[in-house]
Amino acid sequence: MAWDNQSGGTAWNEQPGWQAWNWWNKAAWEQQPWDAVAELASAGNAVDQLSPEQLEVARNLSPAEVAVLNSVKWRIDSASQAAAEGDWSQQAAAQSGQSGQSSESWGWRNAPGWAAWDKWNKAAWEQQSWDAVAALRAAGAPVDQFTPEQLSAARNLSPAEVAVLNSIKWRIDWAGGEVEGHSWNGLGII
Amino acid sequence: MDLASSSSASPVAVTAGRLRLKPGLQSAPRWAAPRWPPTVSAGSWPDQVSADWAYGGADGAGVRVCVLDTGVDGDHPIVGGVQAAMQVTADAAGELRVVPGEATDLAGHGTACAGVIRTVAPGCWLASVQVLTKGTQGMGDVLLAGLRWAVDEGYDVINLSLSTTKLALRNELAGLCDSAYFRHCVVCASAHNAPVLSFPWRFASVVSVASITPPRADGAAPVQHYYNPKPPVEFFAPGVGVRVAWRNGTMIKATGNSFATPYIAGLCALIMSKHPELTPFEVKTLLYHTAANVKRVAAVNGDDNDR
Repeated sequence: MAWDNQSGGTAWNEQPGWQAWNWWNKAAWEQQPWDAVAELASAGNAVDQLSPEQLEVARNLSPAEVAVLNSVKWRIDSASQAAAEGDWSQQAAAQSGQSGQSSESWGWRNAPGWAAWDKWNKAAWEQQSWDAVAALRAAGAPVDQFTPEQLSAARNLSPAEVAVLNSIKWRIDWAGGEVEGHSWNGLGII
Repeated sequence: MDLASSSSASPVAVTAGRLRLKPGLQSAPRWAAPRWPPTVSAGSWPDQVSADWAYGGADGAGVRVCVLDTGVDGDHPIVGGVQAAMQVTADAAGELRVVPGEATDLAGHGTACAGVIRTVAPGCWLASVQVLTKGTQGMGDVLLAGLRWAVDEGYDVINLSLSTTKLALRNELAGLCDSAYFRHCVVCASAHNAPVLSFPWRFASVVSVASITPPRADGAAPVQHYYNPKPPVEFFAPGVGVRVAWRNGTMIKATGNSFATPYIAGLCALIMSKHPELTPFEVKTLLYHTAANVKRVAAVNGDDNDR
């Protein structure tokens, strides 16, 4: 499986922070059987809408890919929910137990390896002008149907996150049928 | 679902994929009468076209609407039954045929579309052709077979909340949509959710639809559709965060151009119910004139606030 990086690696997984991230996921991998589809479903992704061919693609997603996708979905969904229920930053502060607007202490960012991963993304962010929404749109994600709150959350996605999302979408779409209905579930990726 | 019982309110019955008059029915319904030559005259339109003139008081009665999708759950209370449920199967020779099937939905997508149509035009005659599978996806040949059947059967409105990016299907799809157009059948086709080249929504012979956020559900603003002056998408209708019928009698909140398209298809059914003589060109013109963002010159100049 592509996830088991025995072939010497690629530029992507040789990036700073990846080794620690990789180690953490490998440890988790060895402790319990990995079920990408179940993980996706538990996060609310509409996997039941996938064709058998697309499900096979989903089954082969790595833990890191699923973690990124579910994390992004959670943030987008939270933005949408906040728009309906109140101020997002207040909810985030309440959830993190802090009064500030920083999201650094949220649970998924405390995962081992995340700090280095995040640092690498921040460095990339600072080096160039980055438009996450444009990158998602170019890959065919229906960002034009996002609410303003969801768009705001999408703009904060890092280049690495968008690269993972677009890669997954490309593989899922490639495995799709010749004709497709035009409903949109979750992030429009899974 | 038992099709025989579900079609009891209809003047027709389905036999081996063809429509025939039920025993005891003396004459064909209005939609079954030949429409050629057209009966509309140049002077039959009012000086000012309004929504009330276009479809006020209509419920879609007499108009036959066909939904090509994942199937339709005829038992869903929002749908209220379907008068025909068809599916595309391959015979022993491998040739695709459209045959009667069960009024069930493999995904929920078709039920959602049918529910929107039934809500807008509760009196219409509703049929389903299953061309998509569980994953809301399907094969091009199956879509072509289903669409060809619907056009040949003379449906008044065809709802296509789907598209294909396969260029190999383009010409045949375009030919079928042209045939529908000249047979006075309005094809309502959903634009792709992503900015990609797909068909048939980009054809001029169809009514192409994309979605917008609906007005408040508390009745403060009426549900409306909008004209897009920058085609190929011609009309916008509610399709973002809308509550739609789904599998197993449930309702979900969904987003997609798929759910805006049946709203326009329902409007077309209302228009054709009130004005059965109109052609697809004229129906599209009425959609334009009744769009919320299209005002009469007099109204723009402040002489008249009524559209």
